[in-house]
Amino acid sequence: MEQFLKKAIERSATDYADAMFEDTRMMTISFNKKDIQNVSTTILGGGRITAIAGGGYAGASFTRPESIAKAVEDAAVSARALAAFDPTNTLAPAPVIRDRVVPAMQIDPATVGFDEKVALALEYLDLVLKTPRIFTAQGSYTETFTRKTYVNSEGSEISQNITLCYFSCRMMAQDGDQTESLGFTIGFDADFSKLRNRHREVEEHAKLTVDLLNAAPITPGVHTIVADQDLSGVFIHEAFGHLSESDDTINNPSLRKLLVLGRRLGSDELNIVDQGDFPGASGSYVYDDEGVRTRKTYLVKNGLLHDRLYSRLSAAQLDGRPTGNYRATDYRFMPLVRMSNIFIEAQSHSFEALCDAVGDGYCLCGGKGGQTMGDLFTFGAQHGFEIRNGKLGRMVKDINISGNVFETLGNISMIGNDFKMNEGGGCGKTRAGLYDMQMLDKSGTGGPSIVIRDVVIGG
Amino acid sequence: MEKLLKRAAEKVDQAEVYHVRKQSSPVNFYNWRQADVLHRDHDEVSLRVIRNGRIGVVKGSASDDLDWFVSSALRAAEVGPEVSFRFPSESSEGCGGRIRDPELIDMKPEQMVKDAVAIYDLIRPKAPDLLLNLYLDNERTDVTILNTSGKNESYTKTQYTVSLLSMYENSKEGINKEITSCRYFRFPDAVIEELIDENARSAKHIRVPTRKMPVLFRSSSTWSLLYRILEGANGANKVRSVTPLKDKIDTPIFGDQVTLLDDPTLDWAPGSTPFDDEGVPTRTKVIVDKGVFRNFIYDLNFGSKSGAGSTGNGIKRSMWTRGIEVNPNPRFNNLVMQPGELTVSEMIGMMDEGIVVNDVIGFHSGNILQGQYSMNVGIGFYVKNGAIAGRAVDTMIAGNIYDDFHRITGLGKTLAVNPIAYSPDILIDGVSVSGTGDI
Repeated sequence: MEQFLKKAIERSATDYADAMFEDTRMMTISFNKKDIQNVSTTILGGGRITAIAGGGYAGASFTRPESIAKAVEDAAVSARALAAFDPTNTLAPAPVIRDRVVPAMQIDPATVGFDEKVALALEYLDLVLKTPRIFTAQGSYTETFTRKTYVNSEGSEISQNITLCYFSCRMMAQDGDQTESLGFTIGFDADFSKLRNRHREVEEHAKLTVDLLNAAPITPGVHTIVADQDLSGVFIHEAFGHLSESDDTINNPSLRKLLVLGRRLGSDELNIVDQGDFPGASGSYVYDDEGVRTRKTYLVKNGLLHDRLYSRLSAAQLDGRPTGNYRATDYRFMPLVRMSNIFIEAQSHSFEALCDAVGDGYCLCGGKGGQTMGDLFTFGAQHGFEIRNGKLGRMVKDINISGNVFETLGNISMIGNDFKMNEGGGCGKTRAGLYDMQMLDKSGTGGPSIVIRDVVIGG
Repeated sequence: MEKLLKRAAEKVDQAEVYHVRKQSSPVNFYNWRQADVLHRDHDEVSLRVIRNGRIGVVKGSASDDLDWFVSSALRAAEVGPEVSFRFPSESSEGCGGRIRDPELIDMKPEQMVKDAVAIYDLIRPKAPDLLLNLYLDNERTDVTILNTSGKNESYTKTQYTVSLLSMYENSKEGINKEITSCRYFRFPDAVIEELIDENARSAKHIRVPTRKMPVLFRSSSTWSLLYRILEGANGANKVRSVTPLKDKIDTPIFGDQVTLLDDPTLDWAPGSTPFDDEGVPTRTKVIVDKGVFRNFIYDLNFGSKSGAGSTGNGIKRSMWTRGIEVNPNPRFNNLVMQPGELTVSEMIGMMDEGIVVNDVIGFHSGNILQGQYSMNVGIGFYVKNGAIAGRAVDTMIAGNIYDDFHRITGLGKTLAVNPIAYSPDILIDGVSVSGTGDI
């Protein structure tokens, strides 16, 4: 495949070209309660060419290998045509890479039989369904095997095998007319062994769904909160991470002014990191879609804005250093600058000390997805607990949090020591409205529990 | 594709091949200066087989590896769910509306660059500092469905999309205006004027109070409410007995201003289609008639399970997917909410105090099946004494469509398309608004 791609771009009359081809085979076994509802197999094979000519930038994506010559031609012609409008595209230097990547794992899901996968999913579904008041559950086991080959006109040749397997479940509990629904994901890694022996956590998720039936709606208002690891991860992803994506900063004078490196965003304790090579985390990978190796990037160090996430393209425009964050959902899209695994680094405070510091307020748990609009963010929490005199009290639900990113980062007053990465994840990004949306599964969040003062909570 | 069907048919009781080719060239312009384009030419196919009463599915990009497709489908059918439907044979002749525009078929990508530059040229003298991203796409979709019941039908759909996203100061997001149609159009000056005007009015930030007040959902935001109805009227949720509408056929569920049709015959509507993704001919259905719930929507599988039969709503896409990525699910082809008679300014004039909502963030919050929502106002405005006073910041709205749609006090007279429906602007009285202000 490397030779095939290399030959194709050799003929490209451009200043720079790269070619990527990926072959993905995915299987999902879906269950409704304990019945197999579907076994769905997907093959996605396709490629993408991107090219720079005269400073213009364009791409072409295709599904049939024999279409590659036309794709190379289309990308070259359009790059030259767009140069009349935008001749500014160049690439920051990056090492030429020749590498083959094979995932490390104890148990390759390809070596596990179909029946064992079904049996494991059924064990977990059985635990969920025998929990009193859980009346339905939909589960699924998914595995994805991708072989991705990348070459560029500078001489890089990279092939990556990417394997992923996970079990997801959505449960509904009912009491009279009232229903509550929660979901969870376990695994989300190349290693099948991470799916085994998770019964205790599955039971806890089911119990939580049932407990929500009796939880009281949270009182809207402005409160000091402890955000648990899940929620602090979602918060830092939504509220801050998206602003670190430097492709959106180019030619945006107000954002560049706002995000001047060295600006104070939080206390000395606050370190925010994007790390694509975090072992076992759900957003981990090795090389991005420009063939740049991922790394650990301190976005905020000791409370000060320290760095941004870059592609080679955006690094050239902003005098940065490529961070290996230029990623597309798949061959059907142009890459965008995306987070890998983002988190706040742990500090020394225990969870109890955080609750003590809150006194009266809430502990909010579990991210429920969220969105950001520039300096405004919003997201849901799955559930929470009242904190009275530093002690956890009754459960609350129907929780939404919103606020201004910079005020809220400044309001992080304590950072815990209970660091954990979340399993699962995912992120949507668009640069021009809903039709341009790219959903990316491999995007991880995590962190320690944190205390945030003056959070706006809506019901 | 015939070969694939033939190969599969030798080994199974029933088979279906669904083939989609999408060609498009989305052009992006960022902040006046940067631009890129991505040419797309994607073939996708799905094979469904039924053997011994069980169904198996394979889908993905078209591959010459027919044996792999057939063997994967057979393996899936071994453990697949039991089904009792037959793939359809009825012709869809006469179904659907006009969805193929020859002008778009012949259009070159250069036209999109021209259209984008024209939009920039129109805005530059009026709002030289406005940061604006543009997305334009001309997509052609060729669909063919073949099955062992003898079906072999095709259609071609064109779709032109223009999306404008302005960015507020200190932000990478702001006001979004997007239009999509199966027919070529010039982006209307009036919508550009509205974007410039709303951007100017956003300069003043208002922290709104926490109380119940009227909320005007612009048609760009109503999809977040109508999504709840999609889940409620979804026949899969009826079969699973989880929708609150399960016993509500011919019962009032909303106020009598609310009429919703699933109309796949509307000319130039992106959701219009002669047959659904399972080959079932489509037809117009009343979902809600003057507040009274009339029909669930079904695909072949849930239609046969419920006894109602497919309503021509078996769709193999979800809201955010581009290709054939999901198994069929009941979804609206082209939901249309009947408009009223009011203009936006008339409805704003009716409010002593209220909120105008252009976009929401967090539409997934709240118990969707039960009709609940709890969303942040992404782009919205605070109205005082019948006029927009400024941008509503830190504002959340919450409610339940099964209550709120009894308190509709105004419907806009024009329809605009959003990801779920053709919808008018909807003015609802007494929505729970929570903010951080004390005005």
